[in-house]
Amino acid sequence: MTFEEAVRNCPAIADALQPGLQALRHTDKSYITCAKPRLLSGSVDLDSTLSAELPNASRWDYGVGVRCPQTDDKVIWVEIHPASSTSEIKSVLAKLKWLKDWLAENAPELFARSGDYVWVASGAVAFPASSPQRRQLAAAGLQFAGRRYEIQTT
Amino acid sequence: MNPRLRLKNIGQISEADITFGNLTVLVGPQATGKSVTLQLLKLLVDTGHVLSELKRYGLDWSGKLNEFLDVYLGEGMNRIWREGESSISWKGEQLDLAKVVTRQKKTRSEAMFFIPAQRVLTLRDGWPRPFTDYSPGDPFAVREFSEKLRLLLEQEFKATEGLFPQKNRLKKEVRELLAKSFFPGYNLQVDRYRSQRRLVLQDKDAQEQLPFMVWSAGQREFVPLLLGFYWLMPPTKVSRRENIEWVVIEELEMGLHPQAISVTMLMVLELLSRGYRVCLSTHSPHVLDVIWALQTLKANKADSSSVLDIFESKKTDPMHAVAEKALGQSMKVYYFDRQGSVQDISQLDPASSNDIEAGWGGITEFSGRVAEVVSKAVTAGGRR
Repeated sequence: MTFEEAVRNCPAIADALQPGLQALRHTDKSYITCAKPRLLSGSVDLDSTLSAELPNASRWDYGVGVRCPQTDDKVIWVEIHPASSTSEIKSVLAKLKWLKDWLAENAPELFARSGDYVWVASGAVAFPASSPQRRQLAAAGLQFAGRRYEIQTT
Repeated sequence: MNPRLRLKNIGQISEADITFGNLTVLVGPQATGKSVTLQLLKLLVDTGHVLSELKRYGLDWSGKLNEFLDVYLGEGMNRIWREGESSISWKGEQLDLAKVVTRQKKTRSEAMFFIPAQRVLTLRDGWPRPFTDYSPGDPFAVREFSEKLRLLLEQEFKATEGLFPQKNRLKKEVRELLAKSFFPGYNLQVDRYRSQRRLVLQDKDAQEQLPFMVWSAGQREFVPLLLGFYWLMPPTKVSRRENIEWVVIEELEMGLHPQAISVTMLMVLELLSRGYRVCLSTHSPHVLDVIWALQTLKANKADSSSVLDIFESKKTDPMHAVAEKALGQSMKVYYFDRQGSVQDISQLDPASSNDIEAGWGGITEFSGRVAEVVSKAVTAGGRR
């Protein structure tokens, strides 16, 4: 199944599908790059799309589909969020929990194709790679990408 | 102006351009030229002193640079200098090293105190070895440090005297942290075994003594370092040793638990507060944690209280003064790579687009890779 099909099968975000990385808000475009955009199968802005329906939820930012040869597309989930204080870890982990719960309930086909969960810092970073905070993120299955995330395609 | 050292084609180094801060840290894999750089710095800062000390102990290099390098840096080290290729510049002046080591120098005073990585070798049977106890092929930095510790113990401490803790040595707050980290339940003592003086750890309750060879590896590593700090912080109203401006500590973390490293770094901040210019070489993320934290705290206008929180130090006036001064110091970090180049990574930005800077010269690279692999495994495990 393609990313596009999985998104279309989820009514809450079906209309939010955009080609390539076009779902990224203007202010976020510099944080996520891809050397081979033709291998991306689209993107969705969950945060903006669900803001009216779920105004108080810890909404995650983006999902990006990546084509994989001879198999289903993979979905990369990317959150662009400040990392200037260790207290931000708690809010990003809350967002991750919300995302997984929401996907399990509303978009099981996307959830089944989830690849990486990635936090991109929107500014200064307060915790180095050797810190226990980074291990806390790893233990939750969350990758920390620094200020720029390059989507790897195969 | 901060002093600048430039090296070309010396040993493993193809090119290095280092501007020293109040605190300068050299990082990089083994055998990339960090120690050679620091020893050459010592030679340039203390040329007259080094030459006169070597001569005083009867060492002769026949006026030849290659023989001098074997005497000064240690046997076999003459190969680091390649005639016609190697060059060195100090404080903007291009130097002819062959002339530097042959000319008679008027000034013999010393401006740099050098604590070498091999410091554990300086204590044999619990007492510092004299300069002449070493082989002529052993590095000058080790022999001189050993001799200084010997003189310190023989001239400034009486027989059977307590060495640590001592009321008039180091700040009380630092002493308490050191006691917890290094000598829990013990005092460091000068003892006499038959007619030989030696350092022992004395059990505070049982009054039993532990000789040098049964100390923990960390204690054996730390005691020469502690004596070095004693030498640099005399128990007088004068805060520094006369004429000494520079302090080099190679691999400060050697054999130490991370808590002990943090106390030692607090002592480094005290050296800075006393006006010494300090250079460290390290493989420890804890040392760079401190540098990064101090720079970030400074950039965010944090106060001395935050600095003391890092070290879990008591917040007394003297410690606030040390922390306050630390926030005002310039700090530089240089990375020595295997290809022979040296990079300025002073910002230590964990999110830098320069992988070397983000990984702190390879020191946190492994932790970063571990975190990435684990996060992927956790995600994949959640799907299964």
